[in-house]
Amino acid sequence: MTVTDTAPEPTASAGRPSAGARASRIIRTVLLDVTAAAGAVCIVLVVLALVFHLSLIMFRTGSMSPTIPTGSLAMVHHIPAEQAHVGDVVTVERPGELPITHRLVSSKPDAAGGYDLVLKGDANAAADPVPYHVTTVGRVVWHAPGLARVIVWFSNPFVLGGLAMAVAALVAWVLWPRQDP
Amino acid sequence: MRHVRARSRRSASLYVRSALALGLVLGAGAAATDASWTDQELASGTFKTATFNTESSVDNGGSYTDHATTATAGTLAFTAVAPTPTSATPGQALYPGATMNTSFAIRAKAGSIAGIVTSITPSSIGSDAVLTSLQYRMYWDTAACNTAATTTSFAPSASGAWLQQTAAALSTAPTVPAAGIPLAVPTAGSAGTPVFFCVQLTVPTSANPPQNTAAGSTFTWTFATQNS
Repeated sequence: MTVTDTAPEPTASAGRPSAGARASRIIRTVLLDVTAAAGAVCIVLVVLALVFHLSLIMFRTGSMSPTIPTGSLAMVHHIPAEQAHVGDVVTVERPGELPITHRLVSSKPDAAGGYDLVLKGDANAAADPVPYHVTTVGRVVWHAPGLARVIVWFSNPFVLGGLAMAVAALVAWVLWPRQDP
Repeated sequence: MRHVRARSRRSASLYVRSALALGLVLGAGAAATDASWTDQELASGTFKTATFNTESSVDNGGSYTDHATTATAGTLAFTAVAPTPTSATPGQALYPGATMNTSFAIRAKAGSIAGIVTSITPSSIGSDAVLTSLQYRMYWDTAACNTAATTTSFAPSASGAWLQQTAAALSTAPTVPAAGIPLAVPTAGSAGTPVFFCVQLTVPTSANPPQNTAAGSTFTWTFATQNS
């Protein structure tokens, strides 16, 4: 990935490339290397997310404060409900509503083959009033405060579109056929 | 020969790095589309506190208002019954041997839940010469008070009960049963059935209050209520 260009040997007839051309090539190379490195990380993460069933959760409210404040971003690992342990912070889906992410208080199998989970937000005085009936949960494996804003920003079509165009422009600039000296 | 190999290696490297760079767009797009909000709003119902409020009447159930503070205390209207009032002994002036009736009614306001009267507390009468010479009797009833009752006909019906049967000093607190005096829950849109507190004031013939106290003396019973 960091293979450097093998510059053609200067010949007497062509002379050395101009200072401007050299600077342009260095900028192109650095930009492409940085972008490629970031892109490689992204690709690895996307592959990991697909393979290990990871997804991202953004916290809109603060009922898990101070552990996970409002505006946090968390990575959750989707697992069967029976693998969730008491004390884990888990995300459960709710039909027709946003998922809930709270700490697991107790779990017991129910007649329908799933699990009834009692959850409680760290900042809440009492457990959620009704157990959640689930078969899979998302266990929070990583979280960081404030990053939800970054994800929201990337979700903006103009930002994402602008990023795509910027990368495309960089690639076009790098690969544009040019007369080597 | 050497030239060509260098060129192709360089191109391959550029293509690989270009492809990796496009991964940035993939990653940002995946994160943006994958991330979902989580919420902690609870699925429970909304709890509203019930209202318990009473209003009271000082005209034997004619009209009701809030008399919640000393400043807004209802002023009782006295009806002199004995001796038969004359122009010389009008309305609310008392003298030894006089008997006066009054009533106070409490009910749960519209929209309130049911409640009870838990206590009736007399204000301090200190050494007020007029107040210390007065005696009272009291009962509660769901029927309106007979403001013309004499000392012998002053008594609760079957739906009421004595709070102070024998004449006692104002400083003696009426005896409210431990279970309280029930204030019925109102039906929707209207106030509850009132409870009447019938009071008979007498000045014993043996008493010797000061005469012609134009300023008058003020005494307050505080009716404590709570929801039941």
